[in-house]
This record gives sequence, C-alpha cells and structure tokens, in this order.
Amino acid sequence: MIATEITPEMAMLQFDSVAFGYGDGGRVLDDVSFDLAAGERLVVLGANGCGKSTLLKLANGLLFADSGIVRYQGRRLDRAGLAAKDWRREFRASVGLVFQHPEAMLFNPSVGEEIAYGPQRLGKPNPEGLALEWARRLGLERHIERAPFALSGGEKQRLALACVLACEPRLLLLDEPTANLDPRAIGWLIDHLAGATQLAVMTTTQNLALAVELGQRALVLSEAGRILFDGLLEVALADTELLVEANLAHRHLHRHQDGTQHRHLHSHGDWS
Amino acid sequence: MNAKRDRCLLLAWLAAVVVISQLHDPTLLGVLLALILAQYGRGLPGALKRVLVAIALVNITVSLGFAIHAVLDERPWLEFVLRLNLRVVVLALLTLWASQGIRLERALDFSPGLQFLLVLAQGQIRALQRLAADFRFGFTSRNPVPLALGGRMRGAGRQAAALMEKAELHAEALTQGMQSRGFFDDRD
Repeated sequence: MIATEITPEMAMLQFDSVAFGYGDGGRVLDDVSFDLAAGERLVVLGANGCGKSTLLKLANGLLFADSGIVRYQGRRLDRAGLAAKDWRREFRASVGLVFQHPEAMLFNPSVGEEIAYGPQRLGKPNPEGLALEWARRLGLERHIERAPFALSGGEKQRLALACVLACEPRLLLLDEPTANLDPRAIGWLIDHLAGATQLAVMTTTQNLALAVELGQRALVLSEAGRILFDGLLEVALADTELLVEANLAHRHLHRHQDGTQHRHLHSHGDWS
Repeated sequence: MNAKRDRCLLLAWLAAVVVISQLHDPTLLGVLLALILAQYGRGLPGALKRVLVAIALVNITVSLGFAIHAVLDERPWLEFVLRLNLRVVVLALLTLWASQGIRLERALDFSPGLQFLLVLAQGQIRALQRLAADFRFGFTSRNPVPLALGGRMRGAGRQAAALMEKAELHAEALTQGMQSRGFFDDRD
C-alpha cells in the first residue's frame, strides 16, 4: 500500500526540514522532509556519499539533526527525547537498523548468542530457541557456535539481519542490505519482507533492480543531500533525467563492430 | 563442556607462565623448549617463524643493550642473555599454542565483562589484520621494483597512520551499532 496522503496522525516516522553535517564544514543532508507510515515500504535512492546512511542513522536516533525535527510516533528523536529511559528502550525495541558494514553491530562471543542478545534484552521467551530458528532461516545454523568476527562478509550480513529481525521491530532500516548477500539470501530477504506486511521498511540502495522488489515509494536524494523526488518508485525509474541528475544512471558511448555508435543509459542493476 | 575444557587450558597456560618465569636454569629452559618444539610437529617451521618475527626486534635490542652494558662494567652477560632469550621463546611458543588451542571467549564466560571486552578486541584485531594484509598487497602491487629502506619506512608510516584512523572509525561505528541494539540502555 502506498500512503500518498500521509497525515501527521498516521506517520510513524517524520523528517521535517532536517539538515545534518559531520562538523567538517559540509552539509550531508539539507532540508529533508518526508513522512513514513506504519507498514509502508520506502526505498531511498542516491549516489555514493549523498547521505543515505546518515538518513538512517538519524532515523535510528544515533545522530541528531543540526536543524529541523525528526519524530518517531510523534515524539522528537533528539538527545533530550532519547534521554527518557523508558521511551528509549521502547524506541530501540521497535526500530531496528541493519548497518551497511555489519561488523559494527556484532559484539557477542558466538552467532547463537549474537542473535539471542536482542530477544533476551526485550524479555522474549526462549531467546535461545528464537536464535536457533533465525539462524536456520538465514542459513547460519551450522555456524551457531562460531565467533561472529570469524564469519565471511555475506554471513555477517545475514547474521546482522537475523539479529534485528529476531527482535520483531515495527520499523526496519536497511542500509544497502544486499551489498554482501548472495542471490539466495537476497531472494530470502525479498520474500520475508513481502510476507511481513505490518513492518515498515526504509531501505537505502543504489541498485535500481533491487529497489523495485523492496518498495513502491522512492525518495531520491541529490548528491548534495537534498530530496529530488518523493513519490512512486515506478515514476522515478521512468524519469531518465532524474536518475542522471541523482547520479543513479549514466550514459556512455557504445561502439559496434559495424562502426556505428550510440549512447545508452545505464544504472546499477537493470530495472527495465 | 567445551567452556570447561577452555577454562582448564587457560588455567594451565597461566600456571605454566608462572612456573616458567621462576625457572632460571638455562639447561632446564632448553629442555622445555625442546619439548615444546617437538609437540608442534610439522607445524614447527611456521610457528617458529611467527614467534621469531614477533619477538626479534625487542629481544635483540634488550640482549645487545644488556651485553654492551655488562661488557663495559666487566660483568658476565652470556648466561643472562641466554636465559632471557630462551624464556621469551618458550613463553611465546606456549602462548601461540594456547591462542590456537583455546577459545578465549569461551574460557572467559564466567565474566561477561571480560568476555565482552575480549570479543570487541578480537573483532578489531581481525579487521585491522585484514586491512594490514591488504596494505601489504597494495604496496607490493604498486611497487614492481622494490623500494629502498627509506621508501618502505615512509610507506609503513602512512599505513600505520591509516590503520589508526581506521581503528578509530571502527570504534565509532561499533559504538553506534551497540547503541542501536540497545546495549547502553541499562547502563546510565
């Protein structure tokens, strides 16, 4: 379902004129405003360095806006807001972020304990059983005793997904989730998200072929971190000029053996 | 069961370190070294290389320093230097064996705090090891003609600086990852 008319009452996550920079002078995000409704699927598209990961960290309350307001279920996501312990726990329980580099979120001695960590903290019954179940779903059951740092890049990515999904969040933030995944794991993720209809998902990617599997609404960021487009994904993908402006597609010269040449449009992944 | 085995091995290693530190007879240390070398079997050359590379710089510096000082003071030095080097090699080989045979994170499961610190350190070490190996490959790949010592030193310095920066970035990312998963929620 696409929430074309999202009222503040419906919005799960709201960005209102948000700007953010890392303190080295430049702004990473500038005047970013959008709403995300419960159960909605939003794909954030943009080139390298356009602020996609920063956007997710702001949504996860890991970074705080320099100006503008980020709200989760109507409450401000700022230092003061997250200082309230109960609210912070509730927020962390209902919003899960899978980092682009999964090493960042793995800090337990074994795969089993890593997955069980979240459910245990949330007081869910039988966290070990849950861990086994999620390890099985993501093809990690034979690694259950291994140390997470000893896994391959793809296995770590699957483990990071299992850790977050085992907590059953209401909002899932995926930062370039398929960067290290093999085709089987990508297929599993797409199927899983398709089945979890209550889950709101915000995914960042440059891969346009994948984008169509992960959402119906697109937020396209310019390289200066401003919103170029917010609307139906299929409309964004059909807008060649938009994709070129956002550096999501490029044209280059093709030379054929018969001497003819022409320019084609290319992107990360073939969405056509 | 595995954790118990790892704990026992860790305790045995700790006891061995204490005992070896109390041995002062070079002959006895030599016998111990021979026994440890024998148990490495076919893996001996690799193990010996790793240990010698790890300790060479410090041991040579300390041994030379002591020997020069002792000669100037007209004191005997050979036995001390022999004992020092034998002890360090024995301890290093024993520690290498322990690090290969013991899963430390299991052995420390009696203390979640220690275990947590160890896992963090292991993760960082592994990531930086990979990066250092990539640096070495990159350096070799981009320098088809071997560089003079000065060039190699400058390259090593830049790599060390990059590793430091990367370690800092890793630490920051890890803190965010832990924060995101609620690790700090009960700690303030």
